[in-house]
Order: sequence, then C-alpha cells, then structure tokens
Amino acid sequence: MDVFTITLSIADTELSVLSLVTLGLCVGTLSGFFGVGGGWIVTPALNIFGVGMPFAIGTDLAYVFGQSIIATRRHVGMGNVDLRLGLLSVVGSVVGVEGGKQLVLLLEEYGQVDPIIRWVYMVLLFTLGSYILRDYVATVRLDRRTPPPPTGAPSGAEAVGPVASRLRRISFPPYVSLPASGIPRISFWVLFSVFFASGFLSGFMGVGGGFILLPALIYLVGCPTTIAVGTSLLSVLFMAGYGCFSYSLAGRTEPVAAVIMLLGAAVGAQVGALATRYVRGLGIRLLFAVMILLAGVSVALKQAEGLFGWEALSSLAGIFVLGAAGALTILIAVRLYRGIRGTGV
Amino acid sequence: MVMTLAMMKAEVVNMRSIPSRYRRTGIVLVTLLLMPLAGAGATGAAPSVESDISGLNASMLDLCTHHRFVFALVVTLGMALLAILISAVSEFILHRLKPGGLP
Repeated sequence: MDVFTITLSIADTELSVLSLVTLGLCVGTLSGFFGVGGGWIVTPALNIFGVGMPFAIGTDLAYVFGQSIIATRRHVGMGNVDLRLGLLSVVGSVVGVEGGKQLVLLLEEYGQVDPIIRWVYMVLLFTLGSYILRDYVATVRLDRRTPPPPTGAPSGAEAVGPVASRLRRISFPPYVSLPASGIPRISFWVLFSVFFASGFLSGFMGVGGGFILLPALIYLVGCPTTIAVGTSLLSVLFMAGYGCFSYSLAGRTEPVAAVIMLLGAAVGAQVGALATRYVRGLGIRLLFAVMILLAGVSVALKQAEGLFGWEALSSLAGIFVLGAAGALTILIAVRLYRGIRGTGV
Repeated sequence: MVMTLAMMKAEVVNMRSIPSRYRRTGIVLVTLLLMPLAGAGATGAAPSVESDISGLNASMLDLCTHHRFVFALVVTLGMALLAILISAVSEFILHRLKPGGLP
C-alpha cells in the first residue's frame, strides 16, 4: 500500500492517494446529486486522516474554489446568477473569511484549534442531520395525509417572506437596487451582514458557506430560488477563492491534496448530476441525513481519540466518514445504473 | 509524463472533429497545466506519476517556504485553471456524447 501513500510536505503528513481520490469521488457525487458543496465533509475527513485543522481548512477552501468554478459556469450559462448581487457579496465575504482565518490562526497559536473546531463541527453536523431527518419525517407524514394536488394546478409565484419584507424596510444608507432579483431597494448593510456571516463560517470551518447563504438569500434578502442558487454559488466562488489565497499566504494549504480531490470530484459530480434525472424519492433524503449524522459521529470519535488517547478511535472515525460517503455514492451509482437500464427506480 | 504528453497529443489530433472554441481552450489549458508538472517531475528519476507528485510536492514546499506570495498566487490560479480545464473537458465529453451540444 506504500505505493499509494504520498507525503504532503507542507502539512508534514502522509496520506493515501486512494483515500483522497475516494473522498473526492464521493463528495463530488454527493455535490452533483444534492447540490451541496461538500466542504463540511472534506475538512473533518482530512482532519481525521491526520491533517492539522488549519491545513485541512486551507486545502478544503482550495478544493471548494475549484468545485464552485465548475458549478458556477453551469449556472451562469443558464442565466441563474444576479451578477450585481454576486459582486456586492465580495466585500462582506472577504471581511468574513479573513475574520474566520484570523480566529483559526489565533486558536492555533494557543494550541486549541483542532478540538474547538471539531466541537463546532459536531454541533453543526448533528443539528443539520437532525433537522433534515425531522423534515423527512414531517414530509412523509404530510404525504400520507394530504391528497395529491390536481394536475395542472398553478404553482404560484414566489412571494417575499415576512422577514425579507421587514429587512427591506430598514432605513440605513447606502441602498442598492437589484433588478435581476426583483428587489427595488435594500440597505447595503443587510447584504453585508448576510455575506459577512457566511464568509466568517467559510474562513473558520472551511465550508463553502452555501448551506447558510442559500437560505439566507431566499428568506432574508428575498431572492427568487433559482437566482439564489446561482448567486450563492458565485459568492462561494469569491469566498473560497479569497480563502484559498489567504490560507496559502499563511502557508496553510496543501495544493497537491486539493488537486487530487478535485480530479476525483470532477468524475463524481457528473455521476451525481446525471443521477438526478433518474432517481426520485424521499429515501435518498433520509440517507443524506443519516450520512451527515455519521459524519458527525466520525468527528466525535476523532475528538474522543484526542481526549482519551485511544488511537483505534481515529481509524474507526476514518472508516465511518469514508464508509458513509462511499455507501451513499454506491447507492446513487446503482440507482443511476438501474435508471439507465430502465428497470425502475 | 512523456506518455501523458504523447496521449494528450493523440487526443488533440482526435479533437479535430469538435468546434474550434473547445479545441483552442483545451489545448491552451492542457499546455499551461502540464508545463509546471513536467518541470516539477524532472528530478532525474524515471518518469512516473509518483515522481511527478513528489516533484510537484518539492516545488510547492520550496515556493511555500521562500516565496509565500508567489505560492498563494500559484495555488489560487492553478486551482482556477484546473477547474476551468475540467469544466471544458466535461463540456467536450457531453458534446461528444450528445451531438448538438449540451441540453
């Protein structure tokens, strides 16, 4: 197995190329299928494989940067991007990412960066996993009680939510207008706060920030969903791009690992995107929730290894994180194969 | 690396049947990406993926240690170029699979 092991000189760690390719392939498939960035699984996984947290974050941001360029190109082609809003996001995002990075470097100086970020990850993954699981249960119950809507019924235009309406009324200059998103006037500071918060998370945890930014753009700013998807990807591109540059400037990026993962993800993303044409069903959402929870368990195992010094827990954490992502990837690939063969989904 | 370049050359010859904009982008990006990799692999050892990765690793470590700003620029621009290349290649493959372009 030594043939497949490479030394990452900057992070001073040895890693298996197979693990990196598998991770990239799995995360790419999940990204293409669910439309999530996957940064939330790459950073903990790299950390579990033995890469220090600041290096894991820097490497993940480099990987997310590449991923978001690929995804944004598709959405720009489809006209789903509000360029003005995307460009406005640069200011808040860059300040947020820089703030997050400075906090990581400060924690690193005190020798507390790995355990603290792992705690934050555990909270995030368990909360997100439980939320999706609860949403799944609620949807299943609703499906059983509610009769299906009559075919041809109008779906209705997207209405601006109460929170977005209230935020648009905030009188704090300067104001901007976003015609592409159907927003006549909104305070710049509302947008700045939204982008700052997602940028900070991005810089602190190495996540793309899309899972915060997308709902924020829909519910707080009041963007139409399709525009919000494309624009959040463009903002993630700026955030991850700046994060990649900034972490590299601090010498906390492992470009070789990022390149290997991106190559794996490129193949996986095509499989995942193709599978969405054939795969239907709430079962996948359930598996997604379970996978997030298992990723949370793997981070908890790694944390326990640090607390109790049992090295076996670290190996178990690696098996958990790769096993969960791998199992879901195989399931998506099997469903895709069955869909293409026309044997039912 | 020599093998990779030869395969790429063969692929470029095969690319004559595709629209020129994909062809030009592909050739420029492949050349740009392979140039530093080929240089990094020139360590005197027999060409292999392993020596390429070690060479690339060594160059990156050297850049990171002595020229941090250049390192940051190379990493950021390199990832962007690689992503654009991957995007162009997948577009090209989809174009080949489905004549008439992307759906």
